[in-house]
Amino acid sequence: MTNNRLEPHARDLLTQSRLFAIPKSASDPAPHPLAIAEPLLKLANLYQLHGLQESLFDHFRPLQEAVRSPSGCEKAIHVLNAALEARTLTGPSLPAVLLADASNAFQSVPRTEVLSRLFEIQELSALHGIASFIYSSPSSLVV
Amino acid sequence: MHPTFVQSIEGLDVSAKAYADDFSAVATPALLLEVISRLLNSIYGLNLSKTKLLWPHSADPPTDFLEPFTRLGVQFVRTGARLLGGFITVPSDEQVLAATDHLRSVVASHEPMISALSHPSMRKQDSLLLLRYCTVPTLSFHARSTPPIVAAAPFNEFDSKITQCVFEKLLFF
Repeated sequence: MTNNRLEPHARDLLTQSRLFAIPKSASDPAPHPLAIAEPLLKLANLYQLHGLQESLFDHFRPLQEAVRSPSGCEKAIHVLNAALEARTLTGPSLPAVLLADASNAFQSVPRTEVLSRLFEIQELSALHGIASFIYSSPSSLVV
Repeated sequence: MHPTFVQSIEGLDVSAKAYADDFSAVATPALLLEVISRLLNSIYGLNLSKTKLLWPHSADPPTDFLEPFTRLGVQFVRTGARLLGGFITVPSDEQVLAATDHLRSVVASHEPMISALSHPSMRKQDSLLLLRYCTVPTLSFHARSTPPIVAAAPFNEFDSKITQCVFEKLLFF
């Protein structure tokens, strides 16, 4: 899996996901799709990510807190609250806060775009094989 | 999404954080308008009906402040707003009250779970394990991300509910 050398049939079985429709939250009860990946695939991913903590952190900091950033949500909340307070107290004009929602972020980008961007990053070359294994062709969804 | 988010704030005096596809920024309204414009021109685009602009101050915003945002369809909110499961506002009396209300609603949302765990049909061991591993940890996140001045009262209410649930299980069934 990590070197992308498995037979296509094995690849199809390992990259398929089980699809569930669940409510996102109490305030948004409409069903949202949730795909659960194969545990073996997750294990291979974790194996490749092991040792890349610093490279990933360097690549995504200081903006992105979802990747290899322990307690990233809490950090983001504290940083933004502190920035709001500081700019309110010291800034030349009062600040506002933008809470942006990207349109269908995980479905709108072509896989070729994702892979070509990843392949440009040499520090993350350990992920190139498994990313190609997962995203180079469509995956099945099992209901 | 990372390059898009980075480009949206490049060269601007903006404090920003992203968590996966959630992106939040603090700056003057004029700069935030520029950020929105850059995000709209990216390959992802923005879901404007779910995008919010928060004005957390007691003073009214400048008269020409809202027009460009409402024209785009961005929701305008006052006082405070939910952010990544937490809450963002400025620390003044009115805003602290809003944050406390938000946390009270979080505590109240646990009612069905606590009530189910207190049900006579729920076995003691199952109930206590679910309480320990599934119910209590959700408030731990808020304990780490909310100032004590905001959290004290709602957390006391939550503690009382949990204690009552444990006593009912241990003493009466």
